[in-house]
Amino acid sequence: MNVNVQPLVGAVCMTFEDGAKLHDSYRPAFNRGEMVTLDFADTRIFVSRFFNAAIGQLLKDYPVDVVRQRLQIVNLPPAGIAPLRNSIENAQRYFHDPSFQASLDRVLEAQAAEA
Amino acid sequence: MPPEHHGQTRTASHPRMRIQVDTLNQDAESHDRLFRLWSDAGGGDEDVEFDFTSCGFLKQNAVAFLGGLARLIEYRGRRAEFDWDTLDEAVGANLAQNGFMEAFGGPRQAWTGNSIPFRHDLEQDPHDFADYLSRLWLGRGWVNVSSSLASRIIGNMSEIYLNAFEHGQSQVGVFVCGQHFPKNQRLNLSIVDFGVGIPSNVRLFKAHEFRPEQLTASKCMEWAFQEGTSTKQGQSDEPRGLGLDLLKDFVRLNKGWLEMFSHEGYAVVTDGKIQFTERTKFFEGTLVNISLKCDESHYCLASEIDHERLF
Repeated sequence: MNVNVQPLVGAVCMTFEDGAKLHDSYRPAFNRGEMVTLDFADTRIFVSRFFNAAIGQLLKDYPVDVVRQRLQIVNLPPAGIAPLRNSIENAQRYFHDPSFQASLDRVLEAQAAEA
Repeated sequence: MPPEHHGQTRTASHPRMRIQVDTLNQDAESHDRLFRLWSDAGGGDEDVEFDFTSCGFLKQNAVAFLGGLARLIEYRGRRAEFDWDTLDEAVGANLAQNGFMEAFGGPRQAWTGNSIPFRHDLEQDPHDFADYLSRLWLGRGWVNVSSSLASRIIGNMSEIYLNAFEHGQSQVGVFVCGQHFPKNQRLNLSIVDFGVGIPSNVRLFKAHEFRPEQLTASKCMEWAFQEGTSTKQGQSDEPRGLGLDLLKDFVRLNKGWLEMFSHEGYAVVTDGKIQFTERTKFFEGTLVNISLKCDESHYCLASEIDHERLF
């Protein structure tokens, strides 16, 4: 499956919502074991939270090696590389380090109580 | 257009406090003065009038901060006003040019000059913020960066902006202002929120590992800058990071300069090093100042690129 990112979310890849939209577009195919290619041609601005939603949440259900094998990213401009890597590293830690996850959840709960 | 406020409803008139705004630059002493203004004017039950009689200069950090402080006072149900008649001519011209005066009902409208306009976002609008940075900060021809590097800079500044909303929990939103300094070839931008501050989130996160006295504000900021750490997770299954490690690397690679104040914590990234200091003056929110060198030769993006594997 090939997904052209720019027509789906635009040139600016910044928000959770856009990342989730991208994620939802390919997730069923990924779950079926298909190879997925995300083509970032004509995108230009990136924030790590976009990748958290678009790709990072795959690591909840799949080891990073499987993600590397079945998810191909092409034409990603240099500006997107560091946010993507940062997002993947954070996701690995969050989903595979129980104490880290527990601490984050504690912060969330406290912030929700204050809101 | 000034955003609407949803704080307490102002009822009867309050006693009035007149506060002197001194010259405010970007040094440690100026930040002490800024945070003293916050502690003097932010609390209590008095209306506040800011007097600029003794102010000879306001840098962009002070403009963003003062605007935020005024909105914070209003949010808390009091009146905040600026005595425009006390402004020095140059300071008045700056506050008019960057739109601050217009935002607070002053007598002069904004115009295009060396300033990057004062901006207040009550709610996050990342696409508009990216456009603001593209057109009004980097797109003015003051700094010669490739479009690729401009995208990287805007992405990093947007990380700060979004952090202020998602981690900061600021009731009055986020305030931004910038300035171009042609003589020393610097392009500055400041972002401030009046939320809970970075140490507050980190202390919650690390509460089970450390005793409270171990978690000084500067230690919390040091932790927040460490690679791969985060203090907040997403709405469902998306992990979130602070993005501070990205900023650190970006500033180091590009010989920029960045400083961050939150509570008593202070972090400065310069010359490839990052230092953390405990200050005496407390400010509950977070203030970030970034400075870029207006010289293409100082900017480097290639060193971050590793074509072998993206992740």
